[in-house]
This record gives sequence, C-alpha cells and structure tokens, in this order.
Amino acid sequence: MKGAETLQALPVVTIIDDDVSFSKALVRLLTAADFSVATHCSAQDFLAQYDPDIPGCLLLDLAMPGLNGLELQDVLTARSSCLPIIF
Amino acid sequence: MQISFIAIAWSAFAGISLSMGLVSLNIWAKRIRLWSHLAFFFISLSIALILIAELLLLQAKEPATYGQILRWSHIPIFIFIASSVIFLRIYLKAGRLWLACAAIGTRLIALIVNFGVEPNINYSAINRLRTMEVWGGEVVAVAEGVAGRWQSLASFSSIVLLLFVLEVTVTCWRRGGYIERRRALTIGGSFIVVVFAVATNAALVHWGVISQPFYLFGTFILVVLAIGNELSNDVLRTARLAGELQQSQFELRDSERRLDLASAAAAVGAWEWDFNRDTIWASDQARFMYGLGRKGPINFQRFLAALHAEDRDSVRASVMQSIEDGQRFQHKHRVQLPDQRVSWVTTIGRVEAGADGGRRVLRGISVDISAHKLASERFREVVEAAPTGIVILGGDRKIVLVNSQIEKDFGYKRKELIGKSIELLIPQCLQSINESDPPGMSDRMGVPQEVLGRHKSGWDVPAEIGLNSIQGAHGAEMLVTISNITERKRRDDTLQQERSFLRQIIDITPGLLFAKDRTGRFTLVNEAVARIYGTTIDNLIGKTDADFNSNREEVEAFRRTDREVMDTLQKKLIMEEPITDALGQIHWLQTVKLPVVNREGYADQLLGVSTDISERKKADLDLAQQRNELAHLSRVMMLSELSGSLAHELNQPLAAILTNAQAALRFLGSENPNLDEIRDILRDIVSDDRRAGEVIQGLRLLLKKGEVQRDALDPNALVESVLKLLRSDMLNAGVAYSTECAQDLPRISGIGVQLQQVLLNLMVNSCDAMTAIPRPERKLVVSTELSAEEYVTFCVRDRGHGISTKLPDQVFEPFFTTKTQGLGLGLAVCRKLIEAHDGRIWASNNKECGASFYFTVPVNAGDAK
Repeated sequence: MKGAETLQALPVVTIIDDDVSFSKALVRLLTAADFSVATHCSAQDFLAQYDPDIPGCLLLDLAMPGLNGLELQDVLTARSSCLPIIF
Repeated sequence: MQISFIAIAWSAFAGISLSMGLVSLNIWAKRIRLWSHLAFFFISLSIALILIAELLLLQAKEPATYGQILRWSHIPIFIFIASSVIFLRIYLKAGRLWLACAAIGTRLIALIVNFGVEPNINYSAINRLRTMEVWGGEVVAVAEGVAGRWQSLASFSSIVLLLFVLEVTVTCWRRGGYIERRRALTIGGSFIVVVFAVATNAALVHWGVISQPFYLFGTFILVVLAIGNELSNDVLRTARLAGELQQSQFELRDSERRLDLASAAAAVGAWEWDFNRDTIWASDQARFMYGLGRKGPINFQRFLAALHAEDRDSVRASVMQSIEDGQRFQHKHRVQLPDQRVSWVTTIGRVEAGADGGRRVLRGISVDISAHKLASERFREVVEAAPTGIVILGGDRKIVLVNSQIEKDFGYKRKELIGKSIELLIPQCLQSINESDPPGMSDRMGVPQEVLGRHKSGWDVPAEIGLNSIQGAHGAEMLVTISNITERKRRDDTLQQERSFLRQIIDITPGLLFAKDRTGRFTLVNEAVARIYGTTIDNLIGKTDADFNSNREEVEAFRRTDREVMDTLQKKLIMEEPITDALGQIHWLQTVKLPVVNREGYADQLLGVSTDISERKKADLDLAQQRNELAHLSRVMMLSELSGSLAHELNQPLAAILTNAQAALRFLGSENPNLDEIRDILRDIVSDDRRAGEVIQGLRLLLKKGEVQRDALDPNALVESVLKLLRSDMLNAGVAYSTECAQDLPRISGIGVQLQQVLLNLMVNSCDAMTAIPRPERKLVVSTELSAEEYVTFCVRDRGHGISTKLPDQVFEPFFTTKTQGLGLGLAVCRKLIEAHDGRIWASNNKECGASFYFTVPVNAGDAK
C-alpha cells in the first residue's frame, strides 16, 4: 500500500494474491523491471482501496478466499472498469 | 388262850379266796363284758363264807347253835353252786342248759327245804356235840343226831351238779387244743374232785357211816386256785395281746404312712375294697388320683362315678369278673377329674384275705399313666408323621409296630404285618445280623444299607434300611427304619445321565476346557486338551502342563496366570497365548480363566476355557492386509480426484521460486546490485522449496503402501495436516473452513496415514455436499474433544444437503453413494479403518442444515489422563 502512495500518477501494476510468498516474489521482479507495484492479499482488500483514476493493470490469482479472481473481474466489469487483467 | 391252828388256816383260806374274788370283781368292774370274772367273784365270796361257817361249826359249843349255823351255811353253798354253774357255762362255753338249770333248781329246792325244816336239811335233830381231837391237839366239835329226811335231796342236787361238771369237762376235752384241754383238766378236774369229795363225805357223815367234822369244804380252795390260775393266765394273755395289738397298730399306722409316702412318691395309689360291706379304703395318692377328696367314706358307686363315663361299665365288668373267679385284674381307664381334666390310670388288683383273716377284700394299686400315655401318643404321632418307614421288631424278631409310611411304600395294611417277619418286607433285612447275636450286638447295627424291598404286588422297592436296637416295654427290641429311595435312585440315574450328557458336551466342545488345582494338576480336561497334548483324558488327570509341554516358557506363563487368578479371585482374559502341541506345532489360544471359590472364600481350583484362535489369527492377518490395500487404493483414488488442487498447492511455491529466481537475476544484472535484497530472495527460495517438499512428502506418505504401524499421535496436528492438503481444494470449492479443537488433548493410538485418510474423506465429502448452496454459506468446521471413555472424538460438520436416508449409518455401507462418479467405497473403507482402530464412526444430520460425521479413536495407553 505504501508503494501505491509513492508512485502517484504513474501506471501501477496491482498484484492480488493470497499467497504472500508468491506476491512478494512478483513485487521483487516487477520492481527490478522498474514498474510501480501495489499488492493486495484479497479481492475485497483491493476493492476497498480501488481508485479507477490510477492507470495500470491487475495481476490476479484465480483461487482466493472470499472473492476469487473471476468474481473480481465480474465486479470490475460491472463497475465499467477498463483495467486490463492478467490471470 | 390257845392259838387255834384251824382258825388261822380257815381264816387264811377265806381271806385268800375273798381277795382273789375281789381282784376278779375289780377286773369285771373295769371291763364289764367279762362276766366270768363276776361269776368267779361270787364263787370266791361263797367259798369264803362257807369256810367261815365251817370254822364256826368246828368251834360250836351248843347243838342248837350248830344247827343254825349249818342251816345258814346253805345260802353260801347255793351261791357257790349257782355261780359255779354260770361260770362254767360262760367261761368254758360248755354244758347243757337243762342240766345247768337242774343243778341250780334242785339246789334251790334244797335251800328252800332247808329253811322249812328244823334245825336244817341235814339233820332232823342234833342230840349233842361231841368233841374230837385232830392234828396238833386241837379239839373240834362234831354233831351227833338224826339225819334229815330231805338229806337225799341235797345229795341229789350234788349228783346233778357233778353230772353237769362232768359233761362240761368232757365237752371241753373233746374240743381238743392245748388251752381247752388244760382248762378241762384244771377247772373241770378240780370241780369234780371237790364236789365228789364233799358230797360223798357229807353223805357218809350224815348217814353215820363215818364220823368226822365238816372240814372238807376247805378243799374248795382248790377250785378257787384252779379258776384263779386260769383267769390270771387270761388276764396276762389279754395284757400281752393288748400290747401286741397296740404295737401292731403302731406298725400298721407306720406302714400305712410309709405306704402313703412311697405311693405318693411313685405316683402309685393303693386301695382296698371290702365288697361285702362296700367300703373302700384308699391311700391319699389314690384319693388324689381319682379326685375323691382327702376325707370321707368311699363306696364302689362313688368310685365308679369318678371314672370317665365311657369306662365305667368296662371297669365294673372287669372288677366283678375278678371277684368271681379270683383272678388278677388289670385295667386301663380314664378318670374324669373335678377340674374337667381327663387322666389315664392303670389299675391292678386281686381278691385277698382281709386284715381280720376271714373276710375277703379286693386289694390293688393304681398308677397315673397320663404322662406315659401322652408320651406314647406323641411317640405314635411322631412315628406316624415320619416321612421314613418305621418298623419295630419284638424280641422274637416279629413285627410289633409299623407306621403309615410302610403301608404306603409296601402296599400292606398294618394288620397284615403285625406279628409277621420283617423278611416279608425286606427279604435280606436280617441276613447281615447273626440270629444268635443278642439284639444290639451286631456290627451292622446302625449302619444304613441299601437293599431291595418287596412290595405287596411283587415289585422291588429300592430302600435304605437302618437297624437300631432299642429298649422297649418288653425288653430289647429292634427299630428298623426303611427309607424308600426309589425317587433318589431315579434322581441319581437322572443325575448320572445329565452328568454323562454334560461330559459329552464338554468333550465335543472344540475349545479347551480344563480345571487345575493350586499345584497345577488337572482335575478336569476335555477331549480338546487331550488332543493338543496327544494323550487321553484319564492320563491327564492329576498331571500338570509340564508333563506334556516341552516349551518351558509357555508352562511358566500358564502357571503365572493360574496363580494370579486364584490369588486375586478375579477372572482373567488372555487375548492370545501360544501353546506347543505334542507334534511341536504352535497353536494360538484365547483363554478365560475363572477362580473356583470354595465356601471359605478361597480359590482352590481354577476353571479355564481356551479357544484355538490359530486359524482366526491367520484370517485376521489376511484381513488387515486386505484392508490396508483397500485403504491404499481408496487413498490413491481420492488423491487422484484431488490432483488438480494438489497441483496448485505444489505450483504456488514453485512459481514463487521461479519468480524469485528471475528477480534475483535482474538485481544481479544492475550496476549496484542490492546484495541484501538478493539474500532475502534466496532465503525465500529456500523456504518455498521446503514448502513444496512438504507437499510432496505428504503425498508420498499417503500414496505409500505396505508396512503400517500404530503410533502415538497428536489429534490436532492430524487435523492440521489434512487441512493443509485440502486448503486449495476448499478455496476452489469456495468453502470457508475453521477448527474448534480442544486444547491439551492426550495423544491417540493409531496409524497416522489411515486416520488422515478418514479425515480427508469426510472433508472432501462435506465440500461436495455444499456445492449446491451459495458460496458464502459454504462452511466446514472440524472439531476434536476428549470423551469420557478415554477416546478422542473427531467431528466434521458441514452446512450441505445432509443425509437423505432414514438411517444415517447406511452411508457407511459399501457402494452407497450420492455422487455420479463415485464408487461408494470411501465411507465403507473409513468404517473399516476406524473399527480396526477399536473406534467407532457414525453420522447424523444437524438441526439447522447439513450433516455431522464423527469418529472416535482410543487414547494412547501411556498418555491417558
């Protein structure tokens, strides 16, 4: 979340995965490639802080407690979000 | 004056005579009935007067005086004769009455004549008195004159008297007897001599044949002495008799008192019935016995009234018979006592002479036999009521008594047996007793023997007899008790049959049955034991395991458990124990040992039942193997079903590793690589790799086949391990899971992989059951808790469709399934696995929705709290 605050106005890669170990690895890889990265451990967590004005993309895990990946996509579609999603 | 010898002698004679008469008068006056004494008094008095008259005659001076004295002297002579006749009649009880009257009558006439003529009957005239010298120069007067005309009348009177005296004397003599003859001699003799002498002398003097004075009257003193002697003898005898009488009265009184005391002590009453006078004398005891009161006269009527009304006639008849024929009578009768009690009395009596000699009386004794009668009635009742046959044999070995049991057992009537030999009932009853032995001397007496009796109808009656000698009323008797043992025989036979039947059951039992005593010796074995040890039952009895079993360890183990059971008095189950048979092969036994407790509460034997479980043991092993294989198969199938989720589970760490590795490469490619960052990355890679390894390890374990063993396991860790495997699957299925595990649970005893399999199966089923409901409601709860019976209970609860069958446990049947692609073996395998763990598995629907599945696993023995 801190990352998201420091990289304002830049396109942000948002990672949503309940597996902390995997999302941590992804953050490292994307940071090394000079991307701004934000992480959320669940779909609900992401939706709570979702700002449609920030450009970027979503790296989304399919199987998660609560809303899974596909359900989150449905929610974003319903909100007319145009965030590209990579599963 | 010259002393006259004659005067002295005559006076003395008169005095003697008079004093003797006065003694008799005295006796007469005191005992008025002795008239003979009064008569003797008159005799003595008259003789004294005659002697005085004679003395006066001898000393007379004038003829006229002489005549007058002689005349008056006839009065005492008359008295003498009259009283003599009376005396003789009374005293000697003899003499004819007319003769007596004639003697007195003629003398009375002579007396009257005497006073009618002058000067007297002897003389018509006395001319002069002549003096005559007698002994000692004494001079006496003798009359000389003419004899009277009536002189012969006096002489006749004397002759009559003489005749009377003679007749009395002869009669008396003839009676015989010492006393009678002596009296005849002394009294009769003296009278005869004196009367004859005096009469003859007087006649001769008067007729002038001889001339002498009248002094022969002095001889009368003879009569006085003779009578006096007899009378004094009588008095003496009377006195002696009186003394004896008194003595005998004392003795009688004493003996009566003694008789009373003795009879009271012996409860014997004495009595005497004078049946001529109808008076009954009875001792105090007899009066008491018949309730007749202590005083008052008794007669036969009153005696009969005291008896019981029914017995009066028979007693009367018996008594009359006895009086008639003089035989002894004996009678038992009842007495109606004043207080309404009835007592039994036995009376014995006979006719005897009475106390005064002549009279006959009925004399006897009575004994109160109520107590005896009661005792004998009781005896009879007891004998009758006895459930045992009783026979009493008399001294001649003949039956004198039998009871009703004998009639019942042998079919005879009582009267058919009395007087018969006992052999009629028990043919060999007395064989064991030597006939010559006196009763009671035989060794066989008192020892019960089994014999065969003979029923009246001829059949045998098995009996046990006992012979005892007893002292009966008529000497030694024999008491024979005869117990009919038909029933007992039959029971014995039945028992024998039952016993052999039981023996058969024992022997055909395939299990081993045995009993041993404290020293380990067999007291009972069956065929199965004999078979194992390759010997016979008979050969085993009294021997021990060590005699047949070559394996010392086994024998030791048997002895140890035997002792334990007998010492603790607790039964013991030995699940498995080996025994080596005669061929050296090992059999496996499951054995129960029970203590056989005796009355003192102490076990002196033990009873053992062993089942040969060798076959079962092999089958169990096969089954376990099958079960394990099935479980494995089931696991493999289940894991293959879960492979997608498991792949994801494995994929995650692998993807993280890959990404981390790429990131690290990038960092290293930069100008100033951040080494700290790279170090973190490598650390995470290690961690993820380990995580992936764990997943694979878990899968390997579940898929592993072969050796399984029980371990002590933490139930909650078991739950966690399964949840870890299923995590991603449940994420995919949208199932939210939670645990409610009790803390501080003891470890359980189980095979880890199999229990994981069961949990896995139940959780997968629960997830499947919730596919039809909205995602947020899909919840699964796993809980553990310790139940009271040393078991840990696991529960898997879902909110699915629940179990649709009526019997929730049906879901554990093989091939039961609700899934389209399931074989329906999962829960069946679960049940097998849990039961193999000595646990239980069951299911039930929840109140709201869904179902709960439970299973229990025993707490590890070492960890029980």
